[in-house]
Amino acid sequence: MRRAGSAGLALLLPLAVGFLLLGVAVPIADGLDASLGTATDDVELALFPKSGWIRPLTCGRAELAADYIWLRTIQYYGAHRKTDRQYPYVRSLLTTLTELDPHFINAYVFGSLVMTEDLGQPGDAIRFLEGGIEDNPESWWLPFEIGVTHYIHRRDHASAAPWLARAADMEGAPESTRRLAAYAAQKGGDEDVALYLWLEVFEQSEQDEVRRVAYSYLQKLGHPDFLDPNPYELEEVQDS
Amino acid sequence: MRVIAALGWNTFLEAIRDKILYLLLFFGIFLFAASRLLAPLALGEGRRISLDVGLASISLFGCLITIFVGHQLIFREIDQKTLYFVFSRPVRRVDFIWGKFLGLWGILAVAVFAMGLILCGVLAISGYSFGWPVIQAIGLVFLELTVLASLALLIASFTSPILAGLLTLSAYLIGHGSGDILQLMESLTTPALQSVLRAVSWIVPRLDLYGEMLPVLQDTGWTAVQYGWGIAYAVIYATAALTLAGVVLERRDFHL
Amino acid sequence: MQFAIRLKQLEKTYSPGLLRRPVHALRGLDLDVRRDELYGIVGLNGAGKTTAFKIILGLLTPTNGGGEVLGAPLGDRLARARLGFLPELPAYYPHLDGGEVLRFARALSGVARDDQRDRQILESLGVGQAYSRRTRKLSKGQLQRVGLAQAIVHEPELLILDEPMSGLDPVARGLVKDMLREQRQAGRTVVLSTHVLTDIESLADRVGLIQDGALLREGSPRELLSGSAREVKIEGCGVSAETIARTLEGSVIAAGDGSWAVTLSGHAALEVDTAIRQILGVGGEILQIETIREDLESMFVRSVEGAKECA
Repeated sequence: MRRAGSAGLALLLPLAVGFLLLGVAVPIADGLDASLGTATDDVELALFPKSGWIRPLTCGRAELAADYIWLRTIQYYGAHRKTDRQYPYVRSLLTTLTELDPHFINAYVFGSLVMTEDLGQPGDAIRFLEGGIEDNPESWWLPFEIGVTHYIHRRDHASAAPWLARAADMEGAPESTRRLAAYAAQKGGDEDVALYLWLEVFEQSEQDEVRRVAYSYLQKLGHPDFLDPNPYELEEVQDS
Repeated sequence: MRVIAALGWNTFLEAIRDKILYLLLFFGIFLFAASRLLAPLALGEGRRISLDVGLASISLFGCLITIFVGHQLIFREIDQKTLYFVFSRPVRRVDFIWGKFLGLWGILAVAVFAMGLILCGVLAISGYSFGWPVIQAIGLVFLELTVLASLALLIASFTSPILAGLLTLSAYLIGHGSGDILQLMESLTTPALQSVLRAVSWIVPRLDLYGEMLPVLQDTGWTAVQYGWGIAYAVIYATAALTLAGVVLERRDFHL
Repeated sequence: MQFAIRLKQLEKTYSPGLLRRPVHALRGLDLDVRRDELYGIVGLNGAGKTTAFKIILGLLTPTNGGGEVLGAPLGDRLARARLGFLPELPAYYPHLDGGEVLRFARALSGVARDDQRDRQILESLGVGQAYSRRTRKLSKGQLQRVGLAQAIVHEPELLILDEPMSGLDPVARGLVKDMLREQRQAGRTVVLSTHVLTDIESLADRVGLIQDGALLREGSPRELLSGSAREVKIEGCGVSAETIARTLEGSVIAAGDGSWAVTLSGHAALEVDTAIRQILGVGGEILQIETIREDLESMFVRSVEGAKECA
């Protein structure tokens, strides 16, 4: 028993000493860290390197660096949204991110939202999105966001309509894009475009409610094929 | 061929019994943890981050396996004097190299396959889609490692293990920056420097080509022609590297 | 083909590096091994034995000179298919068991797999248990015998064995000697190097002494030892041991019953007649004269030291 006991002590004692030393080391490290003074987030972001410096260090994995910047950007935005709602570095972060990974669509969209909603700079947002379109010509989302920015933030329906129409013609765009484009064209005074777009909505939509709306707009715009009473409304009357 | 197969099987068995593939355990844990921890912070880009981290990790872990196993493939035979066992028999030195490569390639195939399964599992558990493009991307990583493995053997045929490991790692890093080297070359005005960089760009493998992630993220995949060229480059580069390694080994005295 | 190995003026010089003197491992080694003979090579550490083997196998290229192995140039790949080699420090892949080593050996030699025969070979060498045991768990002696097994598994025409008895206990040494005799009787040429000269004496048809990278002496053990009686023991009586001691140069031992024995060595051993006359001259009687020939080991040491003196 004595032997087993002394063997146990021989094991426990160094273990205890080891953990005790660790317990002492941790606060030392914390104290040292505090005394050295960690740079604030903002100072660090002010010195954030440009994409040209980061890219060579990524060893071909630039998209991974972009992912990291994305996570940092989200955290930065979230932290400041809860406090001062000031985001002086969000634009530079997203610019670096999209230079590293030009196909990071969500970054363009998020950036445009922040620039319009939080920074009140729709013009900057549109230029940022246009840059994204150059590298992602097949993305419907970017022209859609440009159209929405013109429509909602600038109230420039005439400028919004062609962007929305372009987005509506692209693969993957939701059906509602075409309707939005038609609305924009109509509100922007471009009746020809509006007619064209509403006709497309009517022909392509599979939903009766949407066809009813399209029919009514085509009727208002005086399309010769849509002079009869709205059959979708008539059906509703008959049903009721 | 039987000789090459026997050497390859022995090399494969050596690495397996050396428990190198325990590395995969760390990979699995790391990837699962990274995906689970980062995805909630990514504002809807969890799939992208999981894929980027996953594929980069497969590449990096594969590189580590290539270095740990590859750098000592020849040195160990000299150090343990098992080279007597091989070259007291009618084994060509170039067959020896090909056999070693086959064994290393087998290890990498098993490792990449296992890591690919783990990645797909993590994506599935997280509710993210993964289609044929993801499988293709994993295949591209395997082609990348094929090229690296052949270069590792060439380097190991004439250097010490430490130097071989460092040079292989350097080749991995520089190879992924090959595109940047070419861009740098274009901006240089000194013809001599341009020539040097051009020579470097020919020798260093174009590993960056295998890291094009856009087709994966957009679920469009590489075209058959692109994939064919990718396979062709890997096969040709590997054959060239192993042929050179055979030449180096042929002229080498073994002081056992 | 009369010769299994022919080495002609073989030279090998190593250049260790800058500011270091080159090392001459072989200096014009001439050595012929006939077919079907068992040839023993003896030499000090660093004499050049292993270097010569490496050149024969093609692991090293000679600086000068050349030769043939089994009728082909040194290092010839196809010739290697017909020879079996046991290195001085046998090392086999630690992750393989003995059976796998032999299977691997067969595959590399282009010989069909035969697990049953592999097992038999190992059992005949007293290491049947090594068949399914990883080589890293084998003792030195067991590993040595697995090494012998891999050298003979493909039934080569020529066996080159570097220190085959190293690390073996007496029983194992007996098994190995039996195996070597069997190989010899089966018509195989065997070349073995060893420091255990008593083994060579009983096994070898011819012996070559190598020193400083060259062949010092060569011949059958009988030829090498003939005319080299270096000690003569004369037993006698009739006069006291002290008288004999005063008369002759040599160590005298008194037997206690009035008889004595005197051992003459070196130069005195060559002058036996003179010694006999001297003994008879002082009144002694000679009971017995015994010639103690030196063994191969003594002859070897003498030759080497002589060569050093000459150098």
